Amino acid sequence: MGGKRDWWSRAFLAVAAGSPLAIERLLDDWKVSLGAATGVTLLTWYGTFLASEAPGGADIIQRYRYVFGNTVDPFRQVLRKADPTARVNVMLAKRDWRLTKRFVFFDREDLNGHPDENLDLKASQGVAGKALISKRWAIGDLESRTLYLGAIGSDQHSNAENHVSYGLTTEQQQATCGLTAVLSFPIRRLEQVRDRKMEFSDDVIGVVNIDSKMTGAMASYEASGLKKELLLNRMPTLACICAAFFS
Amino acid sequence: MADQDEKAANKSRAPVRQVAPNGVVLPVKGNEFSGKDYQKAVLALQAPLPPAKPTGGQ
Repeated sequence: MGGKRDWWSRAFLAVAAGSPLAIERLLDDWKVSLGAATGVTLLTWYGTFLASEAPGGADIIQRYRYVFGNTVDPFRQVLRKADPTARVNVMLAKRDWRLTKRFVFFDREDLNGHPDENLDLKASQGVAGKALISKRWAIGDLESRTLYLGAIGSDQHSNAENHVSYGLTTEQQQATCGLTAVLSFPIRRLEQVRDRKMEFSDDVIGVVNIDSKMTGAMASYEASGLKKELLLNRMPTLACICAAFFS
Repeated sequence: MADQDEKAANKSRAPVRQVAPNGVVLPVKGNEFSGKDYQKAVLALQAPLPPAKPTGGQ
């Protein structure tokens, strides 16, 4: 018993005698360890975050096959019969490595060969950005420079703004200058609630985008009933399917 | 009386199921979406659309 007490006394005295250097070393070691641990934690978080924000994941091919093979492609064909210049895109809002929210085009097939095939949009830009932020459908009549916003389930707009700025850069404006109308419909996230049921939430994860190069596109869509059909039936339907696969 | 109050409270909490004219459930907060809704949605997309008539310039 007495031997043990002696050992502790000697250890205490040794530390006390060499204290400045010993404490400094201890602190340095502690700082390095803490720094390394923080770095590893942050890197792990960032890696996990980027992986979760990637457009798809391990099952991307299956998702692609279902969403585009079974739904978007047949819909494109049907829409092209109505308007040969119309294009359909599904754009998901994801954060990139700089943590800026951008639209990721899940499929660029409709953009191939067009001036905007390499278009890169922030999630706040364009008609799609207006739909994403407002959580309502947005129609940009680019000929009359008017933006219409309306609630899901209605084909009548609740807001109309003239001379709207879509926040596009000069390059983006040049790439999209041939467009006459853009229709964007928000895709709401599906969340699992009680009893494994899925419900739509308020969180918008992307948009279904239809654009046209037809002269007088919006007037023609309105007159033919195409606008009503797209806003009440087809775009919500496509948004539901996309929500089921991308939520 | 208490049962009635509870039923009324549950009813008011129940989500209003908004459905598009083609029978597909709309993506509105609180709306349930099931496997049947998904099948209906896939089929509903493939029906023909009314043709847009070009207005011939403005």
